[in-house]
Amino acid sequence: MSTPASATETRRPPRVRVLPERWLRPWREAGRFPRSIVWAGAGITAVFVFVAIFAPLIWRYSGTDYQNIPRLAAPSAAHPFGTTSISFDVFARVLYGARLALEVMLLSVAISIAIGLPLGLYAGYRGGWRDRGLVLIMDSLYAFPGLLLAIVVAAFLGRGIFNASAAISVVYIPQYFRVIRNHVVSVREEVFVDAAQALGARPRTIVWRYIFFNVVQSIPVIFSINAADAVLTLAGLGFLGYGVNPPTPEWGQDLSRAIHDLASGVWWTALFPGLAIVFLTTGLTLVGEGLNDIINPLLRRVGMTGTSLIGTVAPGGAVAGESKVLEVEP
Amino acid sequence: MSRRSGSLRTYVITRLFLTIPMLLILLTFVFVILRVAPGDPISAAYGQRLPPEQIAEVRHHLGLDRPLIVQYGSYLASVAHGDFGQSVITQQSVGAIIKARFPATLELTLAAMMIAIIVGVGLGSVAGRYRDTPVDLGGRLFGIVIYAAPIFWLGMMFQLLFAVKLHIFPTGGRIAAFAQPRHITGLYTLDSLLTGNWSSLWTSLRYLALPAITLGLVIGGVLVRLVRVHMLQTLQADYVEAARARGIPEWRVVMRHAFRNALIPVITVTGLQFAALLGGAVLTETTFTWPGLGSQLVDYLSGRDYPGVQGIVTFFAFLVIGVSLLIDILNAYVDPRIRY
Amino acid sequence: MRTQAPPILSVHDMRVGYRTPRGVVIAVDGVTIEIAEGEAVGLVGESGCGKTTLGRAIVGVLPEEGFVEGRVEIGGRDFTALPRDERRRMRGEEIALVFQEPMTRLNPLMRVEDHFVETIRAHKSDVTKDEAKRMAREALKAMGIPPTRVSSYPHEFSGGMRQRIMIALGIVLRPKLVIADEPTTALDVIVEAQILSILEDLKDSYDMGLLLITHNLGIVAQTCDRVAVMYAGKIVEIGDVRDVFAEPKHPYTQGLLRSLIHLDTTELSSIPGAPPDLLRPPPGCRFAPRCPHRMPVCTERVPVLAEVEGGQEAACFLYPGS
Repeated sequence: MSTPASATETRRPPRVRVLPERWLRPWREAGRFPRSIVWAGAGITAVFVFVAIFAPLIWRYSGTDYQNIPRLAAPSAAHPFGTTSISFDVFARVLYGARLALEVMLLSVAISIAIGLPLGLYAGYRGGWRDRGLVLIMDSLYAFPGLLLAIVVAAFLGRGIFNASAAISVVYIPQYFRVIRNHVVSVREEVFVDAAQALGARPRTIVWRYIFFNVVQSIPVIFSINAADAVLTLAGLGFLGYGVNPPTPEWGQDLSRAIHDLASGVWWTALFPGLAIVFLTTGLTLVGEGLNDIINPLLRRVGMTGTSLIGTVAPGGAVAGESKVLEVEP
Repeated sequence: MSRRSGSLRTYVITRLFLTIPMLLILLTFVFVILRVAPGDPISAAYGQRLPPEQIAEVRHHLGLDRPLIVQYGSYLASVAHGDFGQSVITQQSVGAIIKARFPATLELTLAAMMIAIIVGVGLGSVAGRYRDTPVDLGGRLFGIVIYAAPIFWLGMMFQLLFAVKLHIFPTGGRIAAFAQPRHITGLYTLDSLLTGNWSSLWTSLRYLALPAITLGLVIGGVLVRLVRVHMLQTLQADYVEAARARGIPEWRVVMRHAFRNALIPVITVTGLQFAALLGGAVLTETTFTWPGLGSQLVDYLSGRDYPGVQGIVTFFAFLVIGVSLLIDILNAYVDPRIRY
Repeated sequence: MRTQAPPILSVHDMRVGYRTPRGVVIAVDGVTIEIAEGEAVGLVGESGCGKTTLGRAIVGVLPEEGFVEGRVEIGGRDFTALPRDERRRMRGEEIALVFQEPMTRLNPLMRVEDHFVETIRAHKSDVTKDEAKRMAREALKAMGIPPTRVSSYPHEFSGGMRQRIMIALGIVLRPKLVIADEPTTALDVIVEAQILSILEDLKDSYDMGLLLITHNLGIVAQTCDRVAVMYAGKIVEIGDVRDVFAEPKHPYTQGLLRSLIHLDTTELSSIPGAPPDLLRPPPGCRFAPRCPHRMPVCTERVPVLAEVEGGQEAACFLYPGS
């Protein structure tokens, strides 16, 4: 603590910092179970990422090879997942399909966040008619069936990876917007924002840092649910004939062709791409569910019964260091 | 300091007023997307087959060469009159198509919704009540995996198993031509019941079974997780604790206080699921060649029949907003706090 | 004061803890207390001292992660040894708990009269609905709530009225003991005065025992016969209300009373430091770190409650017997 050299020396307003330990606290306090859910989901997702990156090294056929491959062959050692009616190797289609799925997923989620997050922050913070207008627009979009929205946009944007991602992202922008905006609105009313302002924290920047920090906590959960949804929506688009151009390996498109094989009892062209979708989506969803279990019960438990966990959150921050969220630097 | 509860009537009226801007926004969105898209409908549909002058003539006839604002105005006007446009390919009125095929979609979505509610609410409340037991984990896992399965794939697997291998159900379609019941509502199962036509009822149920179960299970899976969470929250609620402290027996605490209250958000959630139901119906109808509006939309899309697409999507927008309104009113009826 | 009849409540060496992710927290550590019929005992202490937990543990409504050890006797019967059904029956009929936070303690979907009908018929199934509604109206009238409001929903009432409804719900079956947890904390002073006078009336008219849990020393002085002071899970002083407030024996009680503000207060006084972390309580006397009269023995052994003078007990090594 430095003492001013003279009484007239101007003093900077105290800087208020948010301690980084706070980030990890929900994770550390969570039980074994939610954490293992997250690990399981992350593990499954990691497998797909690995497959997507190293596909050429794993399997000798590519998703579009058709030379010297028999048509509609049942699963065998040479073709573990069988072959399709146009002589594609199903195993290769599944492996390379992972690439596309992950690319589109990342791209669409990125776009959704890039648009939904700032809009949500803006609407929540500014309030007034801007907020109400945006909320009305987003609510209307949100009410409409997501897949239909994506189909309509994709049908008219045309095919291609970017167009497909854009179509999918349109569906989730309202979701990010809503969650972020609602969170901002509730945090805005929190007493600690007032307290920070009373302490002399510079309004705009410091408050952004608070609100943003608080609000950002809800992102990981939506992100994973979103990612899972994106994979499903892409498959839906592919199934109906939109999205990317054939013959790029895409699970949904493969499934739409597989319908015709069913009547003749050919099951492998439909089963395996579908299982791939199920696993990847499950992995992503598990991550989201696990994170949700971790982040939410703490908030829920304390709020619901009105009593904090007795003895551990004593007034005055008696619990050494752990309950301190803020730190005021002179 | 105390507040009188608003009447249900004022709530309904106020809510109705809010519907209009939402509808307008959706319709505008539909319009913008369809008009702003690259290429124009006529060239896309007929580009290869007609000479340019004829294309221009058709465009003029359909009013596609007028300024956008005028087109927008005329679009809204015709919608207000219940005119959903005309298909470019078949020259049929989209409104007539909707009337013909909507009952099929309605039958499918209603059946699926019933299955979804039974599965979702049943499994969800049990999972919530017996938290962290194997029942709970099983329920959650079911919800997650079912959600992860694309509807069309699930449908295909069911088709493979029950139709192709086991021959219990047909693979697709809605009914055999000779077995159609007399037309009253357009919902074959209902019509069969109403006319006492048991063989027709049996046939329609057989055709309805797989698509409805597929769609119903998927939506039910989503409901399981939501109901469970609401059940958990309500079981921890303060008034539940207070009821226990007054010596109310546990079964009554769960049924009257927890379950009843947990259902409130479930009503909302179920209503929200309607949108998912509609989207899912599109996929289900395509998979099972169910002759509803969903498969019609896909046909229009692949035929680049933009006016047809516009007509059906507009109708869907009305449906969604309408259901959302109904759900809000139902909510207000059940929960006295919501009324304005 | 009746000393012949058995005490309506007898708690013997009660320990209550919670299993938290960070370990076991003992919120109530070896509390022994008795309340006679028609006696009002105040239980004071700051937030986190365990008084709410004690109240809940006596009635037996702890959350899942809580556990209770020790004996509780209600009306002479061993409550903790009774079968679950019998305990459920006694809740509301012989012992009632009035919670804090009146805003969330009523089911928002049920009318107020339905709450009463449910409670009454859960205990006396032969009472008709109409009869139960009549009892409800009477109980609410005693609380100053007009009978016409009986069929309204909870959200149509203010906080003060909801608290009165809660109390009415608690006493409608005429229990012999009422545990009131911060019944007036959320209310303004005028409503507070009304409720306190209602509680006093009940005590006088029905011989109802009262355990008043609060951090407000003022209402304890006004309404209670005896007072127990709790700190960090233990009772540090207990005795007749006038004796304890006039001549507090335990340093903590002294500090509390000194920090009260009167019209002629010129300087604020507080107890330095903060209550201990109950996850790892300090050795010996828990107040020792903050006590102005700290002696070496205080951090070595735990003091027990011992009579200091004329019925007043304190747990402090300043007095022989601890």
